[in-house]
Amino acid sequence: MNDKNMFSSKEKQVISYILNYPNQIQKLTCRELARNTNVSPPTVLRMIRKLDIDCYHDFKLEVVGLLEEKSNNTNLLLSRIDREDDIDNIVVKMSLLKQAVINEINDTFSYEEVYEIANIIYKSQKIDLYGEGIDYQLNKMMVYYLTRLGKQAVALNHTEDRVNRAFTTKKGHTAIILSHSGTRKSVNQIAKLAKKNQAYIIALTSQMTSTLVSLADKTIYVNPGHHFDNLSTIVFVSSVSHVYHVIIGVLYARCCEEIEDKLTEFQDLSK
Amino acid sequence: MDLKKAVDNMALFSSKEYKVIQYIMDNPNQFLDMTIRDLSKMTGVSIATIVRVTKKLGTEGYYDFKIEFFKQRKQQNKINYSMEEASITRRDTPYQVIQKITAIEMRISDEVKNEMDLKQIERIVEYILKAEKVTLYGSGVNRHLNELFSYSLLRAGKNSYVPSTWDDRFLRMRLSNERDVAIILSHRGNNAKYYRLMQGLHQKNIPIILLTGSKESKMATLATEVIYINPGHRFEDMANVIFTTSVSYVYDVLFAYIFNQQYDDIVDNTKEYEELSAYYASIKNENM
Repeated sequence: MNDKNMFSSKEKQVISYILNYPNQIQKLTCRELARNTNVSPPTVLRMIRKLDIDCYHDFKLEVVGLLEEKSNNTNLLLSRIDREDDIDNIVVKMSLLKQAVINEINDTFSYEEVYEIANIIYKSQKIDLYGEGIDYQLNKMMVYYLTRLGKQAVALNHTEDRVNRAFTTKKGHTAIILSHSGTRKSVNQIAKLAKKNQAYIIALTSQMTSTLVSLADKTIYVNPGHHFDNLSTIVFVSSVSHVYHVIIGVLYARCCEEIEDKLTEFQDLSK
Repeated sequence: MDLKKAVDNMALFSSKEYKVIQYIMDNPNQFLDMTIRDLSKMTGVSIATIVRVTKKLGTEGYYDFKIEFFKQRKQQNKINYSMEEASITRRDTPYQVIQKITAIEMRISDEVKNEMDLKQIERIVEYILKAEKVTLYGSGVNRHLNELFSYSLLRAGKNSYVPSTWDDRFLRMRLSNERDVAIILSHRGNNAKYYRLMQGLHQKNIPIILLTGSKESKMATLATEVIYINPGHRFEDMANVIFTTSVSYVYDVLFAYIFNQQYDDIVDNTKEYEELSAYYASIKNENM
């Protein structure tokens, strides 16, 4: 697609559109692409043949192939474990699955937003992390990292603790709410309470149109996995861990000089 | 064209041109779906300035630059930094931090994968599958990693438990017998209390799986199986990310192999669990 001189002006119109909106091409039929670019379907097909590609379907695969998402999604789908897998396969599948999850999360990050989130956490007097069950364990790990960086953080598990905490939170505090779907009533209640008390809300969830998202100041996507058979727990845990590692990394870059002494002190204490 | 190098060579670009580069570096995902007009609006610079930037970066214009950018991203998403280069510094942009964290996670997973003794994994899974109870011992962040693995084991139908206090740990050790298995996670393998706990387990002939950063440690001498875990060095070098990534990979492989060995039982278990889970999620009032 580099050499545009060999194309007519109408064909160039199509190419420009594809280069501007590569992510949309997956969803468009040949007719729709022609309509969006004000050319006829035969013009689209002529342009494709000039690229040495046989049909519109293959052309779409080529374009999609430019975006690494294609191989990534394949890895996510391939990672189902079944009876026939031997140990060699399993080890390789785990590796592909983890890479795919990390790449997917990286693709959804807005770097400005990640920086803003780290900055809000940096300035917060207190950070409360809400989540039940497995979410609570992931939050506990985040609390450990935040504490090492000199932040006051606490993870809340039981309903009563969570409600009490959200009830007493205030401006200058941050609430990190981890929820698979972001639709549970109890989760939304916490978010509403925290919002009412003017805490800054960061949601980690998979549903970007949930009530939780509408209440949050910032939302980060995490992959919930699809089904237990598809190793959804591993997908979810890897996804959240990566997001937390990145936030800690950006936060560390932000405050590393200030906390240098504290880190040394902690290391001496732990020895 | 190398945007990363361009960021380090500010002198080559005017402040307006540099603004464009910085915007693309900070928002590469959004940039993929932007026209030159969109980019001009977002950065507040003229279209001519953007074209100049793309030419300074050695491409023929905006479209050519976008194609090159796609290709570079594909490469960068693989692995961009060596472990030595991945230390995070004050000068790093969020983009660089994400690349470094990604590099650490991927390189460590690869390292664990390449060093994994597959026969040993098979033996450990056999111990776990035969065991009546799996008890996972660990303190601090290790306890949370154990809790995550314990959750997976419970979902797979294995009776597992993570004691959280020393009192609880020693009581569990006393209650265990040779039909159980103990998994111990220890950074350095030199904790006196865990060594004492292992002596108790050892006397009872309980298989002990030790995950540690030191295969030569005193604790390792009492273990039935020892798996090496990269403990990292300093917090500044993201030692915690290294350690948790390393442990998670081992636990994920163990779980996946358990899943593979007990496929039908686990699938049945999951159906039953999901029905129960849907039931308790639907209960709005806990009173009968």
